Amino acid sequence: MATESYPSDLAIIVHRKLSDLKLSPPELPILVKLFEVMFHQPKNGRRINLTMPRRVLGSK
Amino acid sequence: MYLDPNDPDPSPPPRILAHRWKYIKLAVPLPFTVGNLAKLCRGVDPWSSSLAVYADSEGKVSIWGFIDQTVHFNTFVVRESGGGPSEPGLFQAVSQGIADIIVYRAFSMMARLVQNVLVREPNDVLWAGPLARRLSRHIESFRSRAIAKVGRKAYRQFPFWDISLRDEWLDTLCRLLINIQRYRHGGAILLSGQSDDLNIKYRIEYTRLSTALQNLAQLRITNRNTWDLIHEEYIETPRKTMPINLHLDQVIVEHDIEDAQMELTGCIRFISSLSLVDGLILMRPDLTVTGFGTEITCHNKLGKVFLATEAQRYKSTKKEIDPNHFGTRHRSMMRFCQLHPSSIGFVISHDGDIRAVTRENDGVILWDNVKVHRLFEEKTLKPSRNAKRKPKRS
Repeated sequence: MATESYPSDLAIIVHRKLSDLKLSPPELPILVKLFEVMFHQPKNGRRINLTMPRRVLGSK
Repeated sequence: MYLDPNDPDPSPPPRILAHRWKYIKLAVPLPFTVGNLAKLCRGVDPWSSSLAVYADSEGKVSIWGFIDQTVHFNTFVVRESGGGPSEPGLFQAVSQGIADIIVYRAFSMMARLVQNVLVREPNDVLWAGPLARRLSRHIESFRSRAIAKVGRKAYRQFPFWDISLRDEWLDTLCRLLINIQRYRHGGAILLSGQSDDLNIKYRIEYTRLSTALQNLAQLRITNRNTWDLIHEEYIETPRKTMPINLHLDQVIVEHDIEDAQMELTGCIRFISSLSLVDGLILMRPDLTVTGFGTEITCHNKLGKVFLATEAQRYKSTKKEIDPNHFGTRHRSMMRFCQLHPSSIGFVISHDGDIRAVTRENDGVILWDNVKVHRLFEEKTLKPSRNAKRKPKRS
């Protein structure tokens, strides 16, 4: 099975892929912060979502 | 969406579609914190809008506004529409669930972090590798029926129908899986031509999906040929008039296509909802539903089980796993497919993971992270193998 990964690993991959596409990615610490905030789960169990809970995943 | 507030639309297309995104600035930007995100996310449904986020020169990240019209991107990605404007910004990050972040750029997936697992690319298993080869037999009979309806001459008028009809069939399968996934209830589909080792609680004979798909294929071929005739014989020639009936034929068939698409959507919704009853949905390979609430009754001992994350290179990358790491829904499907090698199982877990099960020569294969969304190759943004139509870029 896969090894343990964290939001920082996601940030590294995204940073690398954007660089490969010759785009200008944000600094790595910025990406790490973005994904860590999104990954954060509050104590009350409410899901943090940059956009929205998945109950809406009904279509148009 | 990671988007510069000082230059949110650096290269707009020459023709702006009416449903293209626009940004709405917040009067006062907010720091990108867990607290602010928790509050705002409730009012920002990914099927309607997204947050615009950017870091200043000091590295402070803030939420500076909203992006609207995101529904069109989503309907394209879940294969419910044939096109839609791409999303703005350097990249888009969506929190799909608890500890589940997926990062897109335009119509490509960059990476996904699910709990502690990093997924770099979805598993293209429906379009490549041994499972795709199995499905191609069923697709071939769908194709043959379409040819019988429209005639070989009409079918062969354009070379792309083999691929187009394959994608139509696979789109339908993907939409079924996506719709079941949306319920977050978990479910399973078994494509199998026989009913041994199954206890079918609710037997039905629902052929409408299969016939709707067939009808749609026939209409698309007719429409394309009519369109071609109009262009080749009239529009692109010095002729100034064309028969009105030819125009009417095309208008009527276009409306028929819309109706057929709606019928197909209705069929997909009907079948998907059957997954809410405990037990799997049993379908014949021609996509006729023969039962639901189906229980797998075989209790054979499982042999070797492998997890495959790459469709094409599965032989060198597969890993043997202990099936006990998976729940009863997965294990019973593995047992059934081990006994009935021509069957194909799809299991959708509560948390949304979609896996396929087949039996190959070396044992039972559990195809992980099955790609169901319409995504493009990342490096070039060329359509990937499963992309049927190029989306309208704007």
